[in-house]
Amino acid sequence: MVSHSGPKKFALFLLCCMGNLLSSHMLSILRPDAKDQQKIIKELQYLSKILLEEYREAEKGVPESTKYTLPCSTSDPHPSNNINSSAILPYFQGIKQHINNKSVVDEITGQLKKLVSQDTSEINVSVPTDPFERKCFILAILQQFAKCVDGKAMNSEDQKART
Amino acid sequence: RCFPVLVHSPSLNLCLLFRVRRLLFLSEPRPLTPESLEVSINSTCQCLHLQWSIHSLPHHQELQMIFQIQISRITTSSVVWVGNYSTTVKENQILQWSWESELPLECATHFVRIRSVMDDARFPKPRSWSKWSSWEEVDAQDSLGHNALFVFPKDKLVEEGSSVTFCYVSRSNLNNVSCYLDGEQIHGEQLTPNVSTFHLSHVRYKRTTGTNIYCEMKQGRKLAGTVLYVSRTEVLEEPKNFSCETQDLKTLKCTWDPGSDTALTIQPSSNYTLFESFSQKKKVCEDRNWCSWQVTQDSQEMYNFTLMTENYLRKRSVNLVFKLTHRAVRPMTPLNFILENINSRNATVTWKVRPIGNSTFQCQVELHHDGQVIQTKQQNNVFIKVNGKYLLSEMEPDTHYLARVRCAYGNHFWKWSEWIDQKFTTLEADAGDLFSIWSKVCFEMIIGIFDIFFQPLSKSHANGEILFYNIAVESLDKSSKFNLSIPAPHNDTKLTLNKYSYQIHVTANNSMGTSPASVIVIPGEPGHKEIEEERVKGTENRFSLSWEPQSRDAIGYVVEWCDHPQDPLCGLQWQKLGPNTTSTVISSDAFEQGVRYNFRIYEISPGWIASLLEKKTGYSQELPPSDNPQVTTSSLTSHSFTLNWKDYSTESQPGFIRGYNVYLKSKMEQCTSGFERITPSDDSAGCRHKIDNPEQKTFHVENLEPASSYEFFVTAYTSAGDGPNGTFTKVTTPDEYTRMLTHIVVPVILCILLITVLFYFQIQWMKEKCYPDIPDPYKSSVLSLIKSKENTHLTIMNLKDCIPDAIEVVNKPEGSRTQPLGTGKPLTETELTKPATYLYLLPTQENPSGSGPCICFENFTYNQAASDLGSSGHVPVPPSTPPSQLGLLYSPENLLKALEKYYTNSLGEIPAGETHLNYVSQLASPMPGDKDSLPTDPPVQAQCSEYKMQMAVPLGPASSPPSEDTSLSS
Repeated sequence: MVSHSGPKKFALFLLCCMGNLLSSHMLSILRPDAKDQQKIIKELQYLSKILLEEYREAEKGVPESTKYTLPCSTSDPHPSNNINSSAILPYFQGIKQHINNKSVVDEITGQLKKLVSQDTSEINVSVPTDPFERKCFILAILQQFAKCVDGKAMNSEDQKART
Repeated sequence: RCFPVLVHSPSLNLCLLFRVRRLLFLSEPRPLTPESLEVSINSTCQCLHLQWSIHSLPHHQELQMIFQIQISRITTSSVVWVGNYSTTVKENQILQWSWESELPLECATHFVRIRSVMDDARFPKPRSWSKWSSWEEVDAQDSLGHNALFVFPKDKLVEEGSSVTFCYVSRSNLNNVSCYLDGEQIHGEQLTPNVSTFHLSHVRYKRTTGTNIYCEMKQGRKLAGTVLYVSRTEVLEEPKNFSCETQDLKTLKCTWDPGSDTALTIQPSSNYTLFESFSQKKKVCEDRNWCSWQVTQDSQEMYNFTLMTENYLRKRSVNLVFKLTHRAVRPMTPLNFILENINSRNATVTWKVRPIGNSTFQCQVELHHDGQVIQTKQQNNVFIKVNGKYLLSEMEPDTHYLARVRCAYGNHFWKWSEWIDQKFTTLEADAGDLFSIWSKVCFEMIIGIFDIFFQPLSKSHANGEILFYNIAVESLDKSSKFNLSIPAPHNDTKLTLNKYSYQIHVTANNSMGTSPASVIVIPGEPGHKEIEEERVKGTENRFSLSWEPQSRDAIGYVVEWCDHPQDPLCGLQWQKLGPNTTSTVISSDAFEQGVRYNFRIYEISPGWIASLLEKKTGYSQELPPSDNPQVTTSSLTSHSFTLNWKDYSTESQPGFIRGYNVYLKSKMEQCTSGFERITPSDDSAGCRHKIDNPEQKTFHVENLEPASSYEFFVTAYTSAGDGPNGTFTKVTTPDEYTRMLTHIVVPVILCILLITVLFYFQIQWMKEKCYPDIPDPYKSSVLSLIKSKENTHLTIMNLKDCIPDAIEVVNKPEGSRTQPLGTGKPLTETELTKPATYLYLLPTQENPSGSGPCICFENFTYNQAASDLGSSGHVPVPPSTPPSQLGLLYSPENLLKALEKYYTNSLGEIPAGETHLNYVSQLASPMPGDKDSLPTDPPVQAQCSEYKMQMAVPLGPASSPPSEDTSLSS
């Protein structure tokens, strides 16, 4: 039995190692390259402006609140990579049901998902239940997101110009 | 708004019972002060909820009492509401009552107190109020939390047009707070040092997500807000088309149309509830548009349903009463629908229905082909219990069909079930026996070109798809025969054969076999029968044709036509008819309006030879002419003109040309003869003349006015009306006199001119021949005499050298004719009775003393009268002649004019013999110098050699004036 179980365990061990290796390798393959990331940022920049303008038009009289903060960047030095898509994504998933133009929200979340790293953990975002506070929250998130992708896009262009 | 709530409390029963028993023994009951007053706040409905009790009821267990409630705001003294609440008070009862505040309760502290009075008839009046209970204070601000700013009410839902009051509560200085409604600042009233209220009247709907209201504290930028949901009044519609039905008498399914869902995001969807009044059962429906109801097993027949729906603001309800087995049983869709025994003509359908008790079902079977119902068995509905069966017959082979069935409750018909259907195709059969061939023959010199067409009379007669045709051609003259096969779908073939008679057999073949042969015999020579074409009238897409049989032994007839006569491939069609048929109706979907169809009717002889019997032509529906004739005018006179349209083709029109309408417009009120005014009120319409003969393509318009303008328009017409509108052509008749002038006066003028010219030349000739103005000296006889004497000194005087000096014109009166000049009587005497005119031809100033040779010549023009008189006409000019007259004559121009005048007068006005114009020779020189003196001193007449002799005389000294006797020798 020993002689039989030994190779099995070894084979299992090798299989696990191969799996980890493959998954890490595939992760790097699945992530878009810098050029595609810039395109995604550009797309997000366009979509965020549309969404913000539409929401402002639909919800007049909602004040800009400083209570809510969208975690925009990560510690990644690369300007395209340091958008905190995994943190931003739950915010859009949370506010989607309160926004009329759900297709744009879907597009934004779709683009954000392309930038999400596999190793990031999911963040739980609680959307305010009070209607007025919820509106302030949505407006704040949309504003900060638009500002965030604007900044990323500008940084990306600057870097491109330098190279 | 107040509403009571009754609460039973068993713990108070003993206490109340004791107090009531004690009161029963009192003659005048003591007022009962409400006790244990408790006040709470319900922020959702902005309600103050009151709860109190009466601790001791006198005499009875139940008393009718009135409670007076007083509500103050901010302070107890500022009462905002007072009201009574009447109710029956029972023992052990805790009384409840609510009050809805317009102002959000969080905006201010409220105080409540209550008192009561008995309102029971068993107690005598007057009744006194009890003491007020102590003030109960309610302050919602205590529980607000630690925020710096609040806005109330939270998320209020109102109907459009309502009024709303909201407020903010601040923890600090009020001056720093600004409030906004949908982004626009609004201003309110200060209620307390830290509370301000805002009253909104007639609020309007903005959006489903509500109107945004917020207040902002400048310091620290604190925000607080709320959303005001304004609902449209039509937000909850009354359910429509409410009905209930059952498919199995076990479960009722009630359905309705809830209308559009315009609920706000905060408003919960309206619930629907079914209530049945006979059974007093209620069911909350889970869906918005239907609800199921379990039928009771106690054979309840009648049902009275009320469908209710409500939301936060409104309630709606509809009612439905029905008898279950009469108005609610709709069977389920039949099942197991199967087609069996399908052959080329028939098929059997079977189905099942789910049984409802012991009931029967009425079922309907339909057969569809090409989307249309071709058989329906509603009249003969099938009544079944469970299993249904029906035979579909009279179908066509190889044809697609759709069969379907539905059923209804047989005991009391109410509604059909849903259809269940199935498609199927009938089987093919043998190739049809009703097969038809037809041939068009074109004979040339030695050959005949046979265009043979063959087709099944209809698809049904083909009994399936035809695969190919077999053609057998047999010469009847030379006993030769050959076969050929034409694959489908070709349905014609062209054969070029010798000009013999042939018998042609055609058979069609499908997968099931061969059809019987169709035969036609084509003669070797064409017929030469001239048949007149007859017109027929079609209706929509059909023509009714009839004909006279020519021979009794005809075995049939063939009617031939083209579906598309305007196309090169005209779509030849034919219809074979039996021998006893003398009429038929030709119908085709290809028939179009305005297209002329030609029909040829052939008679088939026993030898299968077709001979032309009749020709017919017609339109399925005639249309007005498509174009108008091109009209030219001719023979224009002052009273008539002629219209021609010879080139107009009547055959190419979308209808039979029945004639022409000639329209004539003029300024005359009356139409010319032959014309009728079509619309008297409309001058522009003019007059019309109708020509009934389509072959008449000319028209003479008569009885017109000279020098008048006319407009005409000619259009053809069919039974459908006139041709298209066109433009009128203008014609102006010439003037009558102008014509006369043209024909008479102009030739006359021309003749006169011609005659004048002829006369002119004749006069010139005659004048030159007979009495020339100045005789040609070269032609004179004197010249010959001179030449004969050889007098070389004598020459012919040049006219240029002859200077006229005077012309004497003698106007001699009639009386003077009897007194000859030779009588010696002075002329002056004669002048007194009859004035005489004298002309003096005087020398010009340039040559005043010039004297030339005297020329005497014969001039019958001037001296005829003188010669008649027999004496010389040289008469001295009387001294009494006015100088002025002489002066005028002295001028050469005047002199010439005078000459002309006198000459003219001598011809026309002066009678012959009265006027004498005599030459006065220039040999008698005038007095030099003063011409004025001339008239007084008439020139001395020069001596002339002799009359009729003309010669040049050398210049000599001026002679004395001649005497009267010798003035002019003759």
